[in-house]
Amino acid sequence: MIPPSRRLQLLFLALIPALITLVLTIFFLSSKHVGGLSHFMPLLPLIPVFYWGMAQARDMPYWFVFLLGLLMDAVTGLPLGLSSLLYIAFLILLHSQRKYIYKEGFVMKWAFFAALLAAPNILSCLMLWLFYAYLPALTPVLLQWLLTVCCYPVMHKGFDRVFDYILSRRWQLLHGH
Amino acid sequence: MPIKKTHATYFFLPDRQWLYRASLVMLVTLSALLLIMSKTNNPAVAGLRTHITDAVTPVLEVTASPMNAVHNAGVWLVELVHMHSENIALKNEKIELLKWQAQAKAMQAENESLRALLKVVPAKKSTYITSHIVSDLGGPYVHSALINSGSTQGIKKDEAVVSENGLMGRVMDVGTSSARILLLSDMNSHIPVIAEHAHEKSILVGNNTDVPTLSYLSADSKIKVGERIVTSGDGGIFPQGIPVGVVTSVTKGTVKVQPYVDASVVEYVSVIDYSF
Repeated sequence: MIPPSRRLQLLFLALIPALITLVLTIFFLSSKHVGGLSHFMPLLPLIPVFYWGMAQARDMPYWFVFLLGLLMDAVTGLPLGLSSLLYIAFLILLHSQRKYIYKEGFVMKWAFFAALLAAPNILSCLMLWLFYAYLPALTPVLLQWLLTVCCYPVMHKGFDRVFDYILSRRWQLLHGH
Repeated sequence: MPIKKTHATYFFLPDRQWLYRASLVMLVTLSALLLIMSKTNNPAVAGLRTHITDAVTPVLEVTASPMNAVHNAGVWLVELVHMHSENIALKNEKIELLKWQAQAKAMQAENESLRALLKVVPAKKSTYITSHIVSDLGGPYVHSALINSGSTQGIKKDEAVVSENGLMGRVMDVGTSSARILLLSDMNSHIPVIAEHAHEKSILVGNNTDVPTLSYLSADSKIKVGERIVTSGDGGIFPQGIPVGVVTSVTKGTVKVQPYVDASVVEYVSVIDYSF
């Protein structure tokens, strides 16, 4: 039986991936005064969704990415439900390939992220075409994809450290250290 | 899909696979349902959106403040570097403006006497509500921004939003303490405008690029590069004569307009309350 104080700490550890994703989403959504970059800012929320969906799938649940999508849509002005649907699709695709990629090295994971990131972009274009009968300009979409892929390595390394900490702390808590 | 359990204790997902799958199906269905309801402009979805924006606006305000501080510090440094040359330029501009002021006063007096002579009904005066932009300007798909004023402050749907350089967009959604501005560049933006010299009315249509285009122009349009575009006031939503932009290219019937307002550097905007 785990004492309540330890259970609380374990709960906090389980919440860390979601908290990191939420903080990055808020940063992504807030005003940054970056001039023309605004329209193709890297899609930061999808990097932790990918990382934790791969490393610790149960700490990045579907209901959380659904809520994340709702928040994104409400603030950016996209049709409500679009990002939720795309993020869930992103996570389903990730989980379907997880067993093949999980043990691969960093470069393979990065390449897989780049490939997987194309899916929500293509789906977004298609959905908006269905919605507004208008295909969005492709240059900003491609630039956003490229910038997000470029941001991945730095964040991956940072998340690696957080993940190591979570695992070691969990082990200590579960084994009474 | 099977998810491996590790030694850790988990809190997020139900242990039973069937429950996990059912929740996934439910979430996908809910997302699709919301999407369809958004398409049909369902008021419940609009209400949900404004509730979320009302809740998140204070958070965005807080997170935007360090960014604003960094931005303002940068602006301050640049201004400091250019202070001397700017001072000389401003002195010259002041001399020029004083001449214009004298002319404007004379014209205003003449205008007022002529209006009195013709018994012209005075135009309705607009009121302004100044607000702070708290969100980023959307991604590649939508060009919009959130401001920290809503219906409580008197903001209404479709009102014009301006910065010191001209028109920036219009109010699309209004919450209690937040509102969304649809920028001129968004593909859903349609603004009635008029070319100042050619006197040709048209609609400025956004296309998700920095240069919206003019639609519904006549085949023998006389609009040229450099023409100033202002709001026409048609429809009675926007006041007449708000500067919108300048024509940058006229090719094969496509007229591109560079807006005066660069939305990405604007921090504060004014919402104009104007109605017929």
